[in-house]
Amino acid sequence: MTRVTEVATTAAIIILTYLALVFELLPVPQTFQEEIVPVLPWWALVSFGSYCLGTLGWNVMTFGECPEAYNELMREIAEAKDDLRSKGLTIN
Amino acid sequence: MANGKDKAVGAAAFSVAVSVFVYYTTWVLIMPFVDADHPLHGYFPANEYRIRIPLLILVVGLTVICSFLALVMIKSKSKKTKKSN
Repeated sequence: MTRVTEVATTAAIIILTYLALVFELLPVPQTFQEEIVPVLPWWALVSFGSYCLGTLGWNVMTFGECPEAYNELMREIAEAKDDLRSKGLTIN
Repeated sequence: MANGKDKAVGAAAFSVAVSVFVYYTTWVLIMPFVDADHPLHGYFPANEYRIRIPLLILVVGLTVICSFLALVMIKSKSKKTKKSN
């Protein structure tokens, strides 16, 4: 099963289950049907937004510093600048 | 390099995300099962806003994104016609 097929199948199952709940094809308690079913897509949207922001914030918070990579990158930049200067390009 | 200020921003974003999720989930999935005279209801706005607030955020967000896209596309098109003139 390809990735696309897997995503499409999961989405179809979730959407069909939700539509079955909306059109009252599944027996559920009354409070659940009246108050929670209409609000589920909005809850999913808010949760998705929170998940995105939270993951970004967490990864920025716990990002490990890599000093060797930083030094190596600065060295490579200096080398490239010298190389281009020797070939006639003006770089400050 | 992730300095102290970056980590503070990351921590702030993370706590905002967690608070929003906990508050909204409690409001929307738990409060319907709490008796109408419980004091906890005082911490949440009226029930119509359960849908209105995310709807408003979605509409504003889509408007901002589409306006930004439109501006960028118009600017790049006008730059292309100016160049070929």
